[in-house]
Amino acid sequence: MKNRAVLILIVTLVIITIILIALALFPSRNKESVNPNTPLPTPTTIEIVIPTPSDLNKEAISTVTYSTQAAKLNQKAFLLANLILLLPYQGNLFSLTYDFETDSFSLTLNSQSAIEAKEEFERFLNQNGIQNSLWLENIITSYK
Amino acid sequence: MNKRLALILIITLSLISVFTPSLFAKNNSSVRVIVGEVDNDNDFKFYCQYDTRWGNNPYDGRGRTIRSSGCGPASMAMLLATYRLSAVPGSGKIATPETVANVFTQKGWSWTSGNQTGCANPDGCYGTKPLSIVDKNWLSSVGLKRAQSDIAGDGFPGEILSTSKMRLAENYTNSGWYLLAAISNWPSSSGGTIGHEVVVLNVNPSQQTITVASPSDNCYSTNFKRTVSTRSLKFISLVPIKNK
Repeated sequence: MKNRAVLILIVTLVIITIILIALALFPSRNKESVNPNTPLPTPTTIEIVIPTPSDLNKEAISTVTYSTQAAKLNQKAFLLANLILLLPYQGNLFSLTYDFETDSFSLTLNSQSAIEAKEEFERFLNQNGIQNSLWLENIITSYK
Repeated sequence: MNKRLALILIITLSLISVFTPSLFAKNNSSVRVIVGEVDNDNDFKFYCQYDTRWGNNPYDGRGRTIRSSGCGPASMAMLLATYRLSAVPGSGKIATPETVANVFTQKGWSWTSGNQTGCANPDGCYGTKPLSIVDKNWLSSVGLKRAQSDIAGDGFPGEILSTSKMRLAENYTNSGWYLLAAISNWPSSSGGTIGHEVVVLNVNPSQQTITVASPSDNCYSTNFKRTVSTRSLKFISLVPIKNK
């Protein structure tokens, strides 16, 4: 009788152990799985800020405002972006390229007709809304 | 003898049952999260404007807060913090939405007066000027530079990017720039659209999508990135920015 009780106890414990091992090996699907390839956040401190319901419900209100003054200030930069879209450009007497990494222009003028080349370059700029070559910052000029 | 054996077996099984779960759980203990602030993805620093550390801080002096109107400073803070820069040079503190919002408020870059021409909100302008016009000298003083072009700087309500403009934007992101975007009709996660500023991380012209760090989206997740279609997005400005 005693032996039977011990046997039942042992069997029960074995079943419990198997269940616990199974739970550990196959965690609930509700838990967010961690992809080993996904970069993990690196902060060294653990600080869980639990959002309040009001945090979750509130949406960012319009955060961008705008004025016509801003439009004018942006216009120059906008026109420069349109110019960059056309590059690299090869004219008759000049060529113009743009380097995205350094945000710089490279202008090559025909050395034999430098004045005409510069004029052609200025015309090209004007045709694309750039009033003055000084609008182009970081410009490296060379003659060929 | 049998009793002793049974006792040993019971103790052994008990020990196994107690320690097994903790042994298997150990793998997950390295997941550490500061909600509202994620530092991953090649060190890009994400800030959530709703974070309780700064979300309720006043931003423009009219009752607005970083939570409600601070996407501009939060986006700028992301860029500064990504490069480990401070909003106040010399302070030694890496920028947060709070410190950037303080600077913007001081400099008058958070608009407070109403009835401005072109104001998006009839109740008065608030929030942040499109960051494309934030003073270049200030950007330089904090260690950032902006490209001389503004991919979409043609003004309110903004332009839908053509494929060529998307390629232009992609050229910048491929060359190490982040793009600071002011968008007039950002799709709000709770429906509708809002004016918003975000940091564009990647541009995909063929799919016509951008992947962004938006200070009001995915705030409570370690994966802060959100990919959205650009087919109807209206960009007020889209400015390449990186460190000097």
